[in-house]
Amino acid sequence: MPHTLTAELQQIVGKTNVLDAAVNLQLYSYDAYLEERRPDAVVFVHSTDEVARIVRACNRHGVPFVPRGGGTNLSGGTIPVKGGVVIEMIRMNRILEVDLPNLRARVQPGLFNLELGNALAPLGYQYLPDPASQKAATLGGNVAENSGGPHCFKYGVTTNHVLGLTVVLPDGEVARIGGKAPDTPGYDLTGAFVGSEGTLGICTEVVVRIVRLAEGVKTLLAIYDRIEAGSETVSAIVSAGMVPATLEMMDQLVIQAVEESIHCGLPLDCATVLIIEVDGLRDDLERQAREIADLCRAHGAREVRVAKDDAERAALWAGRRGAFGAVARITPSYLVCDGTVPRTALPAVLKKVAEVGRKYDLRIPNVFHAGDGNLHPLILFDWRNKEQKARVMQAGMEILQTCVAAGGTISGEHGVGIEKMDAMRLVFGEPEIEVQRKLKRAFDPKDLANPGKMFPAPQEVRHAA
Amino acid sequence: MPPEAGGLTRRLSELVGGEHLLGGPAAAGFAVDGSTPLLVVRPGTQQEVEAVVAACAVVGAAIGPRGGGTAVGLGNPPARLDVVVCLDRLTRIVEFDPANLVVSAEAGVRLADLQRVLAAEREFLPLDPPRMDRRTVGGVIASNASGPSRLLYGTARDLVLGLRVVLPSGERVRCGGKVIKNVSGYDMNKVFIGSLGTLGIITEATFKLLPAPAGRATVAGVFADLPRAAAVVTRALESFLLPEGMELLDPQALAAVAPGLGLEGSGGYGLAVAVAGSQETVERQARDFTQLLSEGTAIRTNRLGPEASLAAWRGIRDLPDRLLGSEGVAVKIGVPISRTAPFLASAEDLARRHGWRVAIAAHAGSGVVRAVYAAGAAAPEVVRDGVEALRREAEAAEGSLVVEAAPAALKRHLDAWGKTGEGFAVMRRLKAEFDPRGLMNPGRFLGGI
Amino acid sequence: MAIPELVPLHEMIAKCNRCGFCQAGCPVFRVTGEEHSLSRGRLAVARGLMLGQLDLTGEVVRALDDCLLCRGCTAHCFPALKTDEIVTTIRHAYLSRQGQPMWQRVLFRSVLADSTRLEWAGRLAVWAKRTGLATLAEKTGALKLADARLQGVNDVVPTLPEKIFRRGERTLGAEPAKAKARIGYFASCGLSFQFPEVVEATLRVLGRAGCSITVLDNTCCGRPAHAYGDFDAARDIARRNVERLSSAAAYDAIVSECGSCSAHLKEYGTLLKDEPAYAEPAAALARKVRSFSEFLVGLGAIGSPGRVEGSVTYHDPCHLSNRFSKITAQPRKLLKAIPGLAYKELPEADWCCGAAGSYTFLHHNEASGVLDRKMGNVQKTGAAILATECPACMMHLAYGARRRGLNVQVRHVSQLLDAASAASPTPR
Repeated sequence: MPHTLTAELQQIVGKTNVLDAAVNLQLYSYDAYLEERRPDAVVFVHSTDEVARIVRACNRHGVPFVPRGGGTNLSGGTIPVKGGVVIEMIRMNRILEVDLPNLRARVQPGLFNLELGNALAPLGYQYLPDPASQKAATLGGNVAENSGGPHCFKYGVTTNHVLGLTVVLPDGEVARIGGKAPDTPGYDLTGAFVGSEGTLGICTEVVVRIVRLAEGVKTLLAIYDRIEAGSETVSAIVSAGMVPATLEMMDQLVIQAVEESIHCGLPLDCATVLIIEVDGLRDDLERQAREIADLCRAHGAREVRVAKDDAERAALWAGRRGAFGAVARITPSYLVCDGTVPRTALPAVLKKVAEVGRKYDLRIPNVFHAGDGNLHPLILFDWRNKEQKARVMQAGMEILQTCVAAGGTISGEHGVGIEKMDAMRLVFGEPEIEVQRKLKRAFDPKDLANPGKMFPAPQEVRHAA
Repeated sequence: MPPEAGGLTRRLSELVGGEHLLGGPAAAGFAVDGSTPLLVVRPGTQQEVEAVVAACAVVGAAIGPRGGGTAVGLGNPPARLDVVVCLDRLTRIVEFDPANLVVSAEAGVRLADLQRVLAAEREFLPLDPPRMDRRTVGGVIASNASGPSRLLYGTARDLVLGLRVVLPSGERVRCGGKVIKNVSGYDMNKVFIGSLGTLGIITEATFKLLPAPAGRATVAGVFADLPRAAAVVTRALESFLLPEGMELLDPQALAAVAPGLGLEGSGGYGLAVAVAGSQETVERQARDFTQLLSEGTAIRTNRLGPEASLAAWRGIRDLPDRLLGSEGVAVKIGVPISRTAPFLASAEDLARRHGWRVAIAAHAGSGVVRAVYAAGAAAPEVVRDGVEALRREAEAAEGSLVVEAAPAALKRHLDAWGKTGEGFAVMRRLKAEFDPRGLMNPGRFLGGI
Repeated sequence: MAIPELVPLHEMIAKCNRCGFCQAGCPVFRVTGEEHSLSRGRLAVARGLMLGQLDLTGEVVRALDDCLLCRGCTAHCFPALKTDEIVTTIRHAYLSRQGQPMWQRVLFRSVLADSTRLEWAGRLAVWAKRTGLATLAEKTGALKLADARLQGVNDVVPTLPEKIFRRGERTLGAEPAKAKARIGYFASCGLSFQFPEVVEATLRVLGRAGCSITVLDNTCCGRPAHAYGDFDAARDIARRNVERLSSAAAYDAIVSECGSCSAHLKEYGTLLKDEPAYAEPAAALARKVRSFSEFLVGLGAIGSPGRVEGSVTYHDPCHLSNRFSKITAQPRKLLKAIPGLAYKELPEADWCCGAAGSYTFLHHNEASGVLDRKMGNVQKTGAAILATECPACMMHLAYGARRRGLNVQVRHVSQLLDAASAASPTPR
């Protein structure tokens, strides 16, 4: 990286906000995925203007840049694979405005998702997308990945709640797109930007939809001795005309790990638990809970628990929210698969996942958003064992192939990043990839914004090794 | 460059059959803002659409896609219009998967027909733009049309899971998929939704569905003035209530739909609220809204049961289009939610100042105001200045004003979309990437794209 | 090449899967936003050392410098990695090879190791303060000759008491024969030098609770040495205390009202587990140790005859929190039982206040940022009294109140109990 660029960066944000010592570069070479690559510099920014000037400087020197929030990305979206400048947004973490009459909030991208929720709750409002990583993942990261979470089945994903952005385009121009008002004329650039994994620019302000907290909520947990029974129950609930706010499942390995770390009172010998939540107006919640409990039992649940109060509800959720981390207790590392399938295909796909585990001699516990068919097989391994890691990548690819074959897709919420670049060709032919390149070129003709992500290698198909 | 008409006609006739190709005077009925196409072609399959578009591309013919013809007036007059590609024969329901609440339908399927198919399995697509009887799947997506129930369910961008689009080259591509959670690559659906056929032709869409609500009701009231009606809306938005739709009506709009609402003979401003869901919640919401209306000093209120509700809302939804006529000017204002009523008033003021008749219906809680002006014999410059003043007001409030329809002569003087905004350079590049030769609906979109 | 000291921690280090959840609980990271301030970053350094990707240089070790050792991360880390152990072990490995600054060597190996020297050092500090020498040393920059990072010393410690609390074995309180319990009182450095009035209050409260108290002639518990990575000094100090307190077996409990001391003493068994002569006595001593409120509640001494009017909120010292010795219910129980006192729960009560012993002097900006967050929470409660059970916390919280212009009185729980013992209705 040109020495003059470093000097320019220092001039823009001050010397203390530009890191290029070896140790610091090492610390910005990773995120929550399994790869590492050092950037050439890390810059801390505090305003849209600083971001714009940094990006312009990078442009002048043809140096790529990677925006970063909390670095909790699971697919390698924040790893600077082509070097360049990591633009660290974490200090831009203010809530700029809460506009209740217009049901909107304006926030900076470095704000943790949970902190937005905590600020809104006392006012009686909420921001609906609440991914499991919400206490460590930022709004900017949510925008980049179009994050999901357990409430997507009823309430949608991040893109359904992001209505406007201030974006620093890859050439350094600042553009405010979308906004508080509906149906901004022109192309839906906001919609194109959400989920673009930092490859189309950097958002420095987010306008989100906020809604009233639900009047009531009822949470149930059903315990099954067969995984299929749990997933069949989910289909039955939907067939009965109900749209629960969440339908989450975990299998036995996960339950055991979670119990060990949090002790939330889950039985260690069941095959799966299903967490169901219904919310909305209080008038029919009891009846819905009763109907759902009946359906659970009708499909073989050995026990159904209904949370009596907020504390119990939090306890039922604590296990699910800690699932990934809890699994980390029993293994040095894991690969989180992120396929999505039509919901009715879940039992068959889960069977196939178990087969893949046996085939590659790997333990694969499962956590999944059963309402929307987004599954997270967690392939356990020791990252220090290279041979095992190779088997893990192959198993991951087979699982994604299974998802696609079942009518689904390769990524439900974690993004493509580095991890699933090759797998893009499982769902897209060359024409589909070319239209995505058109979008990329419209925003970033010089390919400086988070290059080396998302798009598969041209022409030939590389299998993950 | 004008297309080589004869060669193209032959080629298109080969592709779709002579009976599905119109030219000459027969094509006049497919004019867009006074621009008559040379040819109107009606392909019968998605593959035929590909071939048709490819054939047009060979000779550089400018294409205007068309569905049910309900949003033909949206946008600026076309810079060029050689061929109208009509999707009305693509009427297959490709796949309906009730267990997974997903349906894939071709672009020419009319929304009302689609809803009937879905209703047989007690499901529905929560999209309710005007003229569902004619509005097509492709059209509603390309024009991003919506209706009152966007309040609870959102719009096309919240309901489309996947698309098939024929690009200006004639190549057909898939976007998205069949599942709710999909972040495999860019969200290309969003690029095409609302793109008004300027990037390609949508030939198929996959939607997510909802179970049909077990019950529904409507509560409606009449108020002496707008602030009183607006105050009820504000209270409703601050409450836990979850109405499906809330429509504010000016006296003219109210008069038009009053019979359906059971409120004939009462003049004033109307507020109609739709609630849907389980019987328990419908009962509770109907009760609560009735109370809100009376506390808000409604002159008169009425409650409708399920059947009457459906009929009433059909009337409300279709209202601006019904009143349009051939001389009407229809505008859609989008503003932050709290400005809905104020802009209904501003839209009224415009009419009052010029002595024009107007009917205005607003999706309260969504920030959308739809006004239809009978500008009568007004001079184009006067209409333009009036619309521009209202638009400036909307844009100052961080909103927009879009001209949805106007007589062709007037259209020439009007800017349909308003200010291009800060992302416009990207939009231009996007258009250039997809349609470098400018063959798809040229000139109709924002900023003359 | 593997670093031998780090080998026992390899499995722990390997378990960091970089999820980044520690961001939710690391107070320093929330101030700086820099990865090196975050546990995940510290684990990455450890991983680099483990794999030989990083060398054990000053630059690398300095990246770990600003760790509070508070385990705020551990609470959010599901493998429950103890970042503090990894950080102190790396510091230990480094100084074993590179040596340590002179002031540390003198302090840990000489001054803290002996109660007499310790008291003289304390008296010296008081004298330097009261003569204005300490202020002068900081203003002229002379203080920075000891360590270039020293900053804010006189702001954080504006005054020192006239008289320190004198160590030396003596017995007070109830008659031994009639006493409910016979306890040894372990004097903490922080309390004896900065807050001797707290010590006096504690002894009165314990006496009134029916205890016969023997003030022990202990030296520093040794935690500061351990925190800086001087494990040898820490073990030496521990051995000396074990010898000095060989009479511990005679007591029902060894009590300290400093959370850091009591928690560290409870680790003596682990600290000296590999030394045959000391392992058992150290473990025996550790088993006797009780923190102040732990002891009182265990004794059943809850409730007071007098009143204290006002509102109180409680800050959990790190070492008493659920991340260390888990004494969180007892202080609250005692406070809630004081008539007249309205108890308000502090948001993020167990988040570190930023003092971390001497951390605030060497990382003043980070510490102040951490403190600001804490004081913001205190302000939210509207409480007039801020109670805690640790001298470093008391010092720092009082500093925080001054910084913010917040009208809140910082008190040790023992002082509030002492005030409630008298008939006087007003808090002292």
